[in-house]
Amino acid sequence: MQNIKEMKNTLFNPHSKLVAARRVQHISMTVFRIALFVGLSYVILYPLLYMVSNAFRSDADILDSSVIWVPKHYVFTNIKQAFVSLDYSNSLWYTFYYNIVAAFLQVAITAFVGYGFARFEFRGRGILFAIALFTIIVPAQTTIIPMFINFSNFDVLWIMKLYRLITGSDTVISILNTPAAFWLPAMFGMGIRSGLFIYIFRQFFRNMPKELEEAAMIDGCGPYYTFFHIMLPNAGTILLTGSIFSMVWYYNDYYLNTMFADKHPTLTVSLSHLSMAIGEFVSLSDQQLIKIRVQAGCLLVILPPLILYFIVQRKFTQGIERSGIVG
Amino acid sequence: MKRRKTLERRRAFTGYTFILPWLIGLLMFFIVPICTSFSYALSHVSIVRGGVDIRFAGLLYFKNAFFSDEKFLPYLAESLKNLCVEVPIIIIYSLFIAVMLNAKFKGRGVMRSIFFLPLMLSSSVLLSIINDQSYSGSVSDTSSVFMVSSFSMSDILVQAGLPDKVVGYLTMVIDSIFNMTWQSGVQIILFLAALQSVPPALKEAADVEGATAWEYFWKIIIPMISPMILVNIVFTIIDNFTSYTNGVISYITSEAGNLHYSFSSAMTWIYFALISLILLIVVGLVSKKVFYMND
Repeated sequence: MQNIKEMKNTLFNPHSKLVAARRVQHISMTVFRIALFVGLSYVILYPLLYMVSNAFRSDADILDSSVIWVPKHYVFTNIKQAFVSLDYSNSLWYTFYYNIVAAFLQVAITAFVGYGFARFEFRGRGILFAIALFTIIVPAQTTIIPMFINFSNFDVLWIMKLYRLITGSDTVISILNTPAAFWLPAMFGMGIRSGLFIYIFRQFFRNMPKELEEAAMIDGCGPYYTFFHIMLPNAGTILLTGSIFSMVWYYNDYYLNTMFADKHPTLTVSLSHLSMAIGEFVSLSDQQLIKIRVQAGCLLVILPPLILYFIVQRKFTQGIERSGIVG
Repeated sequence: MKRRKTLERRRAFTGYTFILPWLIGLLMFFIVPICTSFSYALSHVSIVRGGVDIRFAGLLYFKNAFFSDEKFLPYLAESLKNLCVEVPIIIIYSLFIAVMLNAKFKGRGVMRSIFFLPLMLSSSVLLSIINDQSYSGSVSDTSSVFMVSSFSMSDILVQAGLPDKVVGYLTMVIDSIFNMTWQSGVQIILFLAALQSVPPALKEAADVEGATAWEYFWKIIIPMISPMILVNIVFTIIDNFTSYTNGVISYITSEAGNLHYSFSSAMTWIYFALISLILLIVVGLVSKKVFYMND
């Protein structure tokens, strides 16, 4: 009895040592957390601040040693020149036309395929799914040269070869520098990291309650109707998350874009050439002048994903937490 | 009984129709190119109008890659070294950040938005510009913040009598903080998702049994998220090996750009075999320790 009273005292008395220790622990934890997060936020935001700070400063501010972060003269010339050298409106159009459309195609088709893997029993499912995962491991460089050659002389099932043989003409169809080079692989579930998307969607659909589909089946829905009208509307967040990942990976991709569309550079590709292309405005020997313009170009290129991120940010962060990736 | 069998069959057929687009893609854009690439590696390839001209060359290009090329093996060694250094750092770092972000505190939403930001922006082009310009350039002195800290720190550590290798490793960690924070977005997300899936009942049970936070972390959290640790290790290795900034990959790319298709294909196959081998070893070693709740 005595013991219990003592325990109660120690537990509920705010001046007891235990509570004090807890409080010290809590405060030190908070301080540690704030210090850590402030430091790491600085590392993450530093390049962005640096871009903004450089993009708007005038050429005179570069040599002014009293200017570190805040420029004395705000100018838009860097932005304007970077805009022209990037060929921004065209690059943005190609990015949208080639990459973003492909990203949506990829998400649509991988959701479909992922559902097939999640809910249907068929022979060879295990091994096929393992192959789907295996496609992620194979670096793009392994398959890109044959694909490049195939795309520059496009042929499905030797139809073109047969056509050439019969007619004797030497017509060659090239789908390089056309959207087909991006859309076709995406449409057939072989876009950028498609295997990963198939995996994610499979995990998601596997975790959906089976009762939904059973009810739909009893009501006479076929499997496709069930997928499009019952499963997809319930997969809103994971579709959003998947689309964002897909868009971002296509948008930031350099390798495929230079290989398949070197004549129609997308924004990321244009950015990689900017330090040379800016030569139409400033002499290429002056590193400092080039630098602030390249920073302005970086700012222009990250602007679209940044805007997108601010719009969908809340849903996105919730989505990845509840996406069922864990399974 | 018979009726059920037909239903099963019909479901199986429907299943095939669902994965059919992917099967076509697999054949057209994966199996055919990968076999072609292997045949290129074994032959002399030259481009002619309307296709390619292929003459069998045996293992010549594989031999070249190992014995007569001066760059391939050093690049390979370097990328292996980077792998050994970076994978543990990224895994530990992202787990640490995920645990911190999983706790309840004010401003958690804002912090999460900031930590997911690199995911949206990290293209290899942008990263290389940022690395070249804002971290080694000298427009203003603020840019050398990270360099200075690691230099003075290494001095202190050497004075303290630590072995050089340890000091070297530590300074490398500090210097790579930037790349680490910018490359571990996906890993943080995966860990965060795993942490959220740990049932709260386990925490209550641990509290009732009198487990400290430390014990709770090592005895409950780590086993519960161990499947995700495996996934993350695999993802990090693949990401590290296939990224454009990787030395071997950029060498392969530039060789393909010089129209040395056979040599470049041979190198990708060697590289690819190496990745598979490493993944097999790592998965084999780690998956023994992985704990599955449902089994």
